[in-house]
Amino acid sequence: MTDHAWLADAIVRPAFGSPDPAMHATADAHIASCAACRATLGAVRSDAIRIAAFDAGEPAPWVHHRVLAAADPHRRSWGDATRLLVLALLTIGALAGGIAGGGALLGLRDAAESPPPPPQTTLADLVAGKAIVWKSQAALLAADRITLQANGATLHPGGSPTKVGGDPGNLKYSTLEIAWAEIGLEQRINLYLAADASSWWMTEARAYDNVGPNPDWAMLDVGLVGRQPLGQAFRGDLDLSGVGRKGPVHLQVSGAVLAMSPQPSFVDPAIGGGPLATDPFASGGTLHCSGILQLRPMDAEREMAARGIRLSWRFNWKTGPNTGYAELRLHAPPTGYISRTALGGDGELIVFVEDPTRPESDPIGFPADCPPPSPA
Amino acid sequence: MTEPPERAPAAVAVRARIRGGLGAARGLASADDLAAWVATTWDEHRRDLFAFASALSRDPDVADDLVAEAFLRLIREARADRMPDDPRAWLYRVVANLSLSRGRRLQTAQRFVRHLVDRRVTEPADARLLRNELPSDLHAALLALKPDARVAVVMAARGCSGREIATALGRSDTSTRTLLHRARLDLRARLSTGGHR
Repeated sequence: MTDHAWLADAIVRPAFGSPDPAMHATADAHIASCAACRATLGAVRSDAIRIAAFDAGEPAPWVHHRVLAAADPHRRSWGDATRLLVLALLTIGALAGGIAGGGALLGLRDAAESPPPPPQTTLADLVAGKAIVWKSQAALLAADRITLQANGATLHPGGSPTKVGGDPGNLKYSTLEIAWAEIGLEQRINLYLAADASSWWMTEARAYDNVGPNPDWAMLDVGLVGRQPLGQAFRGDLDLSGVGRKGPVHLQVSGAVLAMSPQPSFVDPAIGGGPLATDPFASGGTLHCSGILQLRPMDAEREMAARGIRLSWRFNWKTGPNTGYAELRLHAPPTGYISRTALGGDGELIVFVEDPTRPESDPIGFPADCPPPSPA
Repeated sequence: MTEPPERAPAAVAVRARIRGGLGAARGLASADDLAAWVATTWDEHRRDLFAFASALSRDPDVADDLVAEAFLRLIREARADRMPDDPRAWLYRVVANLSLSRGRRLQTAQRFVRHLVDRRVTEPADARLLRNELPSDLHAALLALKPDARVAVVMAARGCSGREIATALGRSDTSTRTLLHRARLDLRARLSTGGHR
C-alpha cells in the first residue's frame, strides 16, 4: 500500500470500520502528516455531512394514504368507494384524545412501557351507529341527526336522499352533494372541500332555500370547518348558516364525522408522467397530427401512455337538450369515441369520450391542417 | 457523519407483539397491530427514506414512488410473517434496489425519449410546499455518478453500515469498500471542478 492509499481506509472507515487497529493507526498517522490527504478527507467528510443533513420534507400525501390503506385491517368490509376513504383516513387514537405525542399517527409511541395501546379508531368505527352516512368518492359525512331550516320549514335531509355523490375532484378539492325531495320541492346540500399537502378544510357550503317553485342556492358561509390534518376526520356538531331569498337558512348536523380523502384525478404512466405544459394535440402540438385521437379510446390510452402523458378521462353523455354529464374515469372507457381534449389543473391531459348511446358531441376529426395519414 | 436514528422502543415492542400474534393466529388483533406498526414505522422513517430517495432521483415524483413501493413491500413482508428486524435498513435496501432497477429500465427506454411530450414546465408553487431540494451542485454531482456509486455514497452519508450498503448493492464487502472509496473521491472531484461530466 502506498502512503496515500491510506486515505481510502480513512474514507470508508465510518461505514466499514477498520478491522485491523494497527492499520487504522498507520492510516491516521499518514493523514496527520499529509496535508493533501487531510484536505481531501476533510472535503469528502464535508460532502457526506451535506448529504446527511438533507431533509427533503414529506412524501406526497397520496403516498401516506396508500401505505395506510394497504395496512388497514378493516378495508375488506367496505365497498370500494368507502374503502378508499376508510383506508386513507385511518383516524386513530389521537382523535380519541389524551394520547401522548399527538403527532403519532396511532398514538403508539409509548407502547414499550405497556400497558398495551388503546384500540385504534378507524373511520369505520367513527361512523358505526350513525343514523346518516353520506359518502362520495373522496368525502364522507356521517351524523346522528341532520336538519335544514329554510323558508320557515324544518327539513330532514337524512330521510331518503335521491342523490348522494359529488365531484371526486383531485388532490386539491372535492365535493359532497346530496339531493332529496321534501314538501313537494327538490332540496339540495353541497359541501365543498379543499386540501393541500398537509390538511383539508371546508371552503364553501350551500343549501337550497326551499322557495318554490324553483329553489335556489343559499350560501352557508358561517360555521365552515377549518383546517384538519390530512388523515383525520372532523368530529363535532356542525352549525352552518346563511341567508336565502326568504330569510335565514340553517343547516345543523349533530354528531358529525366529516372526512376528506383527496384523490388524484389522473394516472401517470410508468415512464414519463408529470404535468404537461400544453395540450400536445392542440394546433402546433407534438401530437397534433399523430392520429391518436381518432383511435378507439383504449388504443389511444395505450399510445398516449407510451408517450409518457399524464392522463385523465371523462365519459360524457347528454342529459337534456342543453345539458350533459362528464363522469371522471382514471382509464379509457371501453366504448365510445373521443370528442375533445383539454388540459387539467394538475397538468393532466383530459380526454373526453362520448357515450355512443347518448352522445353530446361528434367524434373529433383528423385535423385539417395536417397531412393525410399515410397508409399503414 | 450521522448515525442511524436510534430505534424507537415503541416499534420494537409492537413488532414483537405482532410476531407473537401473527405466529399464533392471523386474527383481527394481529392485523390491527400490523396496521399500528406500519403507521409507527411510517412515522419514524418516512422523512429519512424520502430524503434518501430524493437524493437518488432527479424527480420528486419518482422519490414518492420509491417510498410508496418500499412501504408496500414492507407491509407484504410483515403480512407474510417476515418482518425485518431493522425496518430502516430494510427500507433503504428496497429503495436502493428499486432505484437501480428503475435506472436500468430507463436506460432501455431512452430510445423512446424522442417520442415523449415536452413537459418542461414550472411546477406550481403549492405543489411542493413542504419539500426541500438538495443543493443543486451536490445533487447534480450525485446524479452524475454511476447509479450504484450514487447509492453507496448516499447510504453511507445517511449512516448505513458498509454491510448494509454491500447487501443493498449485491456486492461483497471488499468490492463495496472499493466502490465507496472511489465514488466519494469521484463526487469530490466533480464538486471541486464544478463539472458533472
